[in-house]
Amino acid sequence: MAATAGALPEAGIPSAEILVEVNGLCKTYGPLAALEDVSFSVRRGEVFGLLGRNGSGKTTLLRILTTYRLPTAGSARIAGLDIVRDALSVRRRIGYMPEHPQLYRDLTVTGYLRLYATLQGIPGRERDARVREVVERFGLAAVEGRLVGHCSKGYRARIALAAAVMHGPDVIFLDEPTDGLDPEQRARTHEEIRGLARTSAVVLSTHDLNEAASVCSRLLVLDRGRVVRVDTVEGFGGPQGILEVFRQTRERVTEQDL
Amino acid sequence: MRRVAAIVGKELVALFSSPVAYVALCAVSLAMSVFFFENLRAFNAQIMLLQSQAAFDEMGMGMLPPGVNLFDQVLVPTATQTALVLLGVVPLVTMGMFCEERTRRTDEILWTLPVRRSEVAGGKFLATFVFLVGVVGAAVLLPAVSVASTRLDPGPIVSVSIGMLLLACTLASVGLLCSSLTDNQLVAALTAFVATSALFDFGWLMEFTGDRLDKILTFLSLVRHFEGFARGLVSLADVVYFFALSLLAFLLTLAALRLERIR
Repeated sequence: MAATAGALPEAGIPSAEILVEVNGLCKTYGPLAALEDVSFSVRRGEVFGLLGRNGSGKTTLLRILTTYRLPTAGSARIAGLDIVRDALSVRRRIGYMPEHPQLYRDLTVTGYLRLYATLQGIPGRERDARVREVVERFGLAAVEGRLVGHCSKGYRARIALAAAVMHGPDVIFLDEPTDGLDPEQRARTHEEIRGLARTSAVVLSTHDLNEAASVCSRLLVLDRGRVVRVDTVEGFGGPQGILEVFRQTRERVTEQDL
Repeated sequence: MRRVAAIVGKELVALFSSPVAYVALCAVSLAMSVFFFENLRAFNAQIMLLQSQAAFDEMGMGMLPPGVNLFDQVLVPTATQTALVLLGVVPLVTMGMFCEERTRRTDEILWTLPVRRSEVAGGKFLATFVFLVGVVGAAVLLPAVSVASTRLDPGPIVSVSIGMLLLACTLASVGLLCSSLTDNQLVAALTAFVATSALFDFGWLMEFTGDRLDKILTFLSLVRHFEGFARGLVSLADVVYFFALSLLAFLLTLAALRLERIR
């Protein structure tokens, strides 16, 4: 059954399990509304997909939830912490991989991961062990001494993902993590995302319908900053159903534009 | 503190990965050397002229007229001229500190890490200052070695070094502030250069102001507080002035960074 914003199918689930709670979130840039009354929640163990065309507000939503930007109205809680009042505590509980992640190109791969671990507050003793662990896990051993700027796009994506999960966050935000990767790298990243959802909640932004259908357990379709529909992949009727919602959105937008 | 140290390390790696650091080091060292030797040559020429004059003989060999001495004619002008070079060089070092994070979009990861804005700004400031300590050290090396090989008092060299470090500290703070206000590195560098040049000496403004304002402008001018150090005088008031100005620019930088999140 389709669920709309504000009437999500989480009723009865213990609140401790809900790691992301968004209520009536709005963001405006002057007269332009980038997000309007967005509400949803995500539980531990879920891969929650944000689906929408370019400019639909996915990245703005992620930037607000990761405390990079402030919302204009509404509220959101990550692991029970308010994203505005407790921003610093929220940042300890999240991992974020932005769209086309830009890393410090002058550092070596291990240098970058060490810097990230230090800024995450991982103590010195643990730091090297964690770096070692993610280097092995994400297949970075071959490039660990290389400058980040000299690594391929695929490796840079892996470095960004490794950094985002190194401290064991409760919620992981991924903004189009497979954009520009080859099919093998995409498949590997999808596997990683599924693995991450075993212990955390993953919020994945994408405009790839097949990726959304194959990786996510639930989806939120955004259009011009508004929630069109929140449902499970099965609820949408698989990739074909998601595509249909997408098409309807485009038709509605076209009519408005006309 | 570990986070600040990590930021310092990252910024120093970034600085020395770009040609800016090497250009800055060379420019200041070269400028100080050229100014020092040029002022020394002019001083020697003046001594030779005095030696050839009868008046000099009457005073006795080795006795120079008032105002004609190594510090007033070599060290003070060299220090002031090098300070002017610092005005041009420091903005080149600071211009990318926040601008580059934004234009390369590395700030999106940085500001979603559990790190305070004061820690990031402090780390960037300290990295700039550590680098400028090296620049000042390289710049005063030649005069220091020259003075050490004579029986002259090394005190003024120490005070000039302190003055140049305090000046560099203030210039770095203002440069960071300008870098935090714009996304364009060139604009950041030019704004910092214009702001610190205007602040360096308000003399140009005094033609249009009254006596009372003149006193305030004189007090606010960087050069008035720097001159004391160049003359070998370390005054607490001058030290406080440089620290206060640096702190003000640093606090404004933090305010600018906080406002950025509202965007």
